[in-house]
Amino acid sequence: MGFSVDFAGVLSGAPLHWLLTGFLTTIVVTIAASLVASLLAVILLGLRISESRAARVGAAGLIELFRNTPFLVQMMFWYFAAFGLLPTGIRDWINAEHSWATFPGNIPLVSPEFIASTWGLGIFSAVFIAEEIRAGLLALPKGQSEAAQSQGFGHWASLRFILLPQALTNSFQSVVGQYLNLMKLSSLATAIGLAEITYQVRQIESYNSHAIEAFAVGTSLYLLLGLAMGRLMLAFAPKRRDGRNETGAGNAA
Amino acid sequence: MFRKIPHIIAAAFLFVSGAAQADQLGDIRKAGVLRVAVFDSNPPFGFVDEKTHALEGYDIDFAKAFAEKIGVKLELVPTNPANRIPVLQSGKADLIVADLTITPERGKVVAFSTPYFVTGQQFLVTTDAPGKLEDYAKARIGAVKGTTGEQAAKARFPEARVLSYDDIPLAFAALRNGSVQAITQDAEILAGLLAEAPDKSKYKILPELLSRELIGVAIKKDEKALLTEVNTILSDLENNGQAEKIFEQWFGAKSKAPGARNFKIGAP
Repeated sequence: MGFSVDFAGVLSGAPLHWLLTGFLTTIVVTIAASLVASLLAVILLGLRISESRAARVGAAGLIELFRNTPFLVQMMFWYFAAFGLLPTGIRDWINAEHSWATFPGNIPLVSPEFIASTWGLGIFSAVFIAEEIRAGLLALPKGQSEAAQSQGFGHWASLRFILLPQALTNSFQSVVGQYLNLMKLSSLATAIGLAEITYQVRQIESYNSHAIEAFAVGTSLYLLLGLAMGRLMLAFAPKRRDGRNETGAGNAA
Repeated sequence: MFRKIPHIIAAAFLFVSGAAQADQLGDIRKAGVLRVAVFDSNPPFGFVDEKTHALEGYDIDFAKAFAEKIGVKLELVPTNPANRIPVLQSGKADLIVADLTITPERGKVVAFSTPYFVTGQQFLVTTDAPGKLEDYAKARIGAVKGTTGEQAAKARFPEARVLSYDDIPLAFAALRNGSVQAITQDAEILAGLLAEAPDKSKYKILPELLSRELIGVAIKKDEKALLTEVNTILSDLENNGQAEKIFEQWFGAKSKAPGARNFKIGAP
């Protein structure tokens, strides 16, 4: 029996519908988790470079914890362990149907899978983003902060106006890379039942055994999303003001 | 003269098909032995008893009943899942009584009796949860990726949210932490899962079946006399209560794999 490729089994009927909702779910969870990651990254960075030793140590501890444990394990922890620790009332509310929070394509935004995925992806990416920006700060010459201080800038003011803008410019490529990683890591949310692209691809595989075609289409969807995200984010790249050349922009993906 | 041709052809067909339809039931009676293919390592359907070293089980008891009713000696032919049908086709056995699920594909190569055992997917829920399947029509239901249970739950309850996990322990974990209200899998698997669970008092298995898998006796195709005989014996066993007794012994409350007998042989 030879192997023949048949995309009709993937790009029609129920499998096509599954793939489309999976694609949408991946996009929505990526956007939601990116927002969470950005917010948490700002907070973690603030603590990590604050003047209080306790805050610095606490933030460093959190960062080490999330950076040095496998993401899949963290995801399982949030979904299978942490969710069970919530009070029953909250769990019942999350489990109930919320028509106002259902994205077109019957994608529930208030569900244990979506919340655990968003939170898990968000915090995992936040520690990496915070560390990338901190690396950008550390790369600045010491003269920058000394000059700021001599001009009367305090700790936060010198960060806000002098140091962070340069640090962000330095680290922009790697930060974009972290957001792209977040999108790709969302495929692991299939383990906790989030019906994103990978979940739907595997469903097609068990539905009509079109594994090769389904994985090919799924991979193309990730590639498409990654390229689009990379282009979009690099359009917002800060302009370098120190005259160093910008070749290499666009290779972040 | 030519008007008789259809009759001649009809007669010829009768003769040929009559010859092809060797009466296996007659052969069995003549030989005085009924050869039945059974499992030898699939408790409680067919397995070797540790003490007596004899084949025992639900299927074995049915095989014994068939031989007894036909009035011949029984010869058990031990086999395994992959060899069941070939053993019958090659003529090494007259019947297959080995936990064989009736499927359209198998129906193309063998004939099936009326089902003598029914299994299927059930729901495992928390003790305080509703007891009817219909109560879960809009629930969040955990399943295992790629199983019949996953498909069956979706087909029966299109409004429910079916969430699929990699294996049954993960689905059970989702039930434990309240992410889903029920999990579904084959009845025997759920019974085993619950029996091993340290917190089994908190969960129950609903007796209703989500979908049904029918287990039948397989016979060579076109052996009408033997098929009729097997079906008659099966309905006799149901009517005189012997079938239920056999079920009680292997799946009753005191057995290792307790389950409810939610079927009757011959009933739809």
